[in-house]
Amino acid sequence: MSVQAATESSLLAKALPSCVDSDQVFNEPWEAKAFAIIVNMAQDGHFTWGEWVETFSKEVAVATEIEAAGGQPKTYYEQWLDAAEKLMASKGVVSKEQLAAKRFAIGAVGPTRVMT
Amino acid sequence: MTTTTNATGTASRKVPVTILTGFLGAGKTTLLNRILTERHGERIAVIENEFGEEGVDNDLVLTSDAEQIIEMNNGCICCNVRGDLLMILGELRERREAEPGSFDRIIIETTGLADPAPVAQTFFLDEDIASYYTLDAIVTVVDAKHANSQLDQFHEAQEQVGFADRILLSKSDLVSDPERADIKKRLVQMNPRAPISQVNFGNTPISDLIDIGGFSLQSVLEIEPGFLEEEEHEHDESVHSFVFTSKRPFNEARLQRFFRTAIAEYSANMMRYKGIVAFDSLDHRVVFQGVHMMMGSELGRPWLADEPRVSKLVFIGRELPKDHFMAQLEQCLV
Repeated sequence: MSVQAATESSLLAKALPSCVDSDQVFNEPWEAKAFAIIVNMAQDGHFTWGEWVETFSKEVAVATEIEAAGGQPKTYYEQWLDAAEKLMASKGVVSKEQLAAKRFAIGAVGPTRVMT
Repeated sequence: MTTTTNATGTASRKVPVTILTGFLGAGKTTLLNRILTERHGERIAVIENEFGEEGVDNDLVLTSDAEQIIEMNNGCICCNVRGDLLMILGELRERREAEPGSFDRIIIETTGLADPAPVAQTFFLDEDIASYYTLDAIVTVVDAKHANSQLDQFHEAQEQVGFADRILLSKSDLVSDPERADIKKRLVQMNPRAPISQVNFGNTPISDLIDIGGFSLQSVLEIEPGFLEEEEHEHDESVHSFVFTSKRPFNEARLQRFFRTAIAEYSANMMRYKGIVAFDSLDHRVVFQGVHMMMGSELGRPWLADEPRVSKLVFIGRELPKDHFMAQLEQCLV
């Protein structure tokens, strides 16, 4: 196994949900896409896996707090997506404006009917 | 936007696809044969819906003999795709992967009676197809001689005009100048965003058919000049269009709610819609487009300092409640 392949597979192992019967399995194609994008971007060096874990944990903590206070609960991959958007914006991969523009249609038709 | 990254990490362009529609006898095959014999250096695969009287002369012709409409399992009556196309496009992909360079693009010639929506939606609703192919445009051939009677009689003919990104007027040498002008006027009323050009005996430059960017969000939204001044309607069309413009910016949440409600209720009749929008919350244009229940949006260029921030939205559809839409849109302004 090459060095690169070894790194990639260990990154994937870290990223893959450990327990398959939780809500971490993919329920919608966009969830798998969001997952793959983050793994790919970490591989390509846009951020380290540690940075991702930190951003994602913060997002989960905030969402848990909101839900505990009676707010709208979010699924595992909704939290994943929110964290992904924040990290990408902070790394300058996308701008807040680009995200806002994309969200316009997604909010109107839902994630499975978006034309790209 | 049409660049994708394959497994080996190298960037590769998606294969562009043109849908060629038009009513029976409009001259699709004649046009296609002219295009295919032109020396343009493009290797074109052709998917035909049927064997016409006149065959297509090309190395790579695939035929789908049964129009197979598949309803997508997402609870929407207008979200259907063409099963026969899914299969052929899958086969073509395998062939191209085994033999790179076997073709650069695809032209799909539909039957005269085909509804363009399921053909177009195949390129957006199926993930595998969407990742490999990109729909460039729907080009509709209209027979100038028989257009009026066909448009009066067949709703399929109206749909093909409504869906078009570009209209090619054939046999226009067979009608008088005033007749031609009348037909053009009628077509513009139905679809103000499709430029109309004339073809004689299939003679048209390939650029009228390919790389039109009809489904590209960033392509310029051109409304046929003169459309907005037209008031009288000589024909009572079921397929029609209207444009909403405003110098006041939109509130994003309100406009999003408008689309959510409009699409929930009227998506089956909303054939094509597209626009450039100014939001009070953004210094960039936002561009969007939709086909029935599918919609996409993207950030456009920043508004220039001395540029009026004019939003422009065009709707093309079947029996759409224009006044209701216009009033609702007005409510979404800041």
